[in-house]
Amino acid sequence: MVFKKFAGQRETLAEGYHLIVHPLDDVREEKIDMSHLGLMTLTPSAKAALFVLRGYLVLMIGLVAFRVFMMAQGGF
Amino acid sequence: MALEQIMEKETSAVQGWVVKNKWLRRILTFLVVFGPGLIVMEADNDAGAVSTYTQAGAQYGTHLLWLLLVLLPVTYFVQEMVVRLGIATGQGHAAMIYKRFGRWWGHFSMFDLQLVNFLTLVTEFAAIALVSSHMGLPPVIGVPVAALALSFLVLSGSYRRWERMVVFLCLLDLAWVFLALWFSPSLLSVAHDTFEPGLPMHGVTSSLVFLVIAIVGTTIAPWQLFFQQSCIADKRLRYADLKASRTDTFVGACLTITIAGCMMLVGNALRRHGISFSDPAQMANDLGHIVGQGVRWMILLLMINASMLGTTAISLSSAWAFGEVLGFSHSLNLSPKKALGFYIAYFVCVSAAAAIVLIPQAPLQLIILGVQVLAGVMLPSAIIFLQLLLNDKEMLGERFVNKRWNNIVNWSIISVMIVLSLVLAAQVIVPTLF
Repeated sequence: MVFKKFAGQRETLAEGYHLIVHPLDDVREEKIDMSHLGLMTLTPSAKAALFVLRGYLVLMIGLVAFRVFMMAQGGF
Repeated sequence: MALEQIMEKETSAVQGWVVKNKWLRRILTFLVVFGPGLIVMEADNDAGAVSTYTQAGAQYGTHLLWLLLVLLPVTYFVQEMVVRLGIATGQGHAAMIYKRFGRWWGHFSMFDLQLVNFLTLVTEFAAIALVSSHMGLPPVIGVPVAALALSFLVLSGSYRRWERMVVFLCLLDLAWVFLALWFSPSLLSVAHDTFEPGLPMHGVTSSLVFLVIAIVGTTIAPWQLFFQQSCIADKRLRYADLKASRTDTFVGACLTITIAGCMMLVGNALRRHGISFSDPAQMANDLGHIVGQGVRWMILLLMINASMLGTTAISLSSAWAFGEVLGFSHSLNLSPKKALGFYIAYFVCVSAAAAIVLIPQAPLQLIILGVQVLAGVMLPSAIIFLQLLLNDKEMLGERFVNKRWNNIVNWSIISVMIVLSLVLAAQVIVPTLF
């Protein structure tokens, strides 16, 4: 057969054969342990990026508020 | 400090398929992994995208096809970062932002996501209401029926069942290819305008600039970053699935860009017949008068499909984010009894958006306009967090962190997105700017 179903221990798989298991049928994989991690240590460029982002958001939210005010004055 | 990943191979039994052929192994591996990438890309061809692309085709013919080709690598690169982050951490995007950037940025990201998502959901149901009235079905019936169908879509308690149904809906969009071939001008002119950038006859105008920005803005939406990462976490993709997941994302990107181009070609059919564009449902009526009612019904049903895809993906991105942040169970693999908060969040998103559309005199046009502005304003912040997380060596280790070329490409994309977002928001907010 081109392929066949398998149910059993991985170790019992014969040599030269490949086993394909759906992720939801597989044992849970251990991912990165983040329990000891707190806030990210920001590099100067990361700090700069977040600073620019805050400035950008203040500007854009101000523009949106201005437009809403103008629409309220002039009607939509 | 970089962390080493350990894959536990417990000696418990597993079920799967055994193959000997190397190519068959690759194909089957791809088939079990694919889904999140295809869905996140194709769900982006929602009601708003249908409207934008068909309008672009109706106003400018095939002159903007090249723009879609430029956007293909952009959308792939951004979502590829999401794939790496999702597989490496096994957690959703919202949880990552809270964890690494703190409560202030976490609250901001959640508020941003939920607001833009909710307004986008309203536009999806507005499209459903519009299409259902064109089909002769009162919106007061069509909209609740759609909301119920979307609710049943997730109720199976099986991620796999949900994924199969949604992938089926994604593949239905291939009907746009059939429509494009039917209406298409010569394939030579399509190929020319796809591979050779050019401008329409009247050059750069404010409406062209607006449409270009709208096209760019519909290609990457904040919800996509949250959706795909949560979907990958829910599907429990493994480190070994990274390559297949990248392929899934690439295939999804190609499909969504192809379908977008086909929508432009269908819109172009209106232009070639000298008919002006008002909305996609009216376009369906106009084309139906020319070629027959079959085409009309096909376009209307494809619009419903687009709205359904967009709604389920966006609602799930909201529900997953709530679960990650508030700490309740949040998985499509769990029944509503076991993940009550997750399903309630999903149903509230769907039903609230549907209810707003049914309110008489609801300011839908204002909401549709608001979504355009907000999505454009908020997108850069979502991508910046993603970029910073992918440079977090302390968390990801050398294996998953961005390489230098990744950073060059991604910061270029972010810079262009910020400039375009500023131009879009400024143009919409201050219409006399250009």
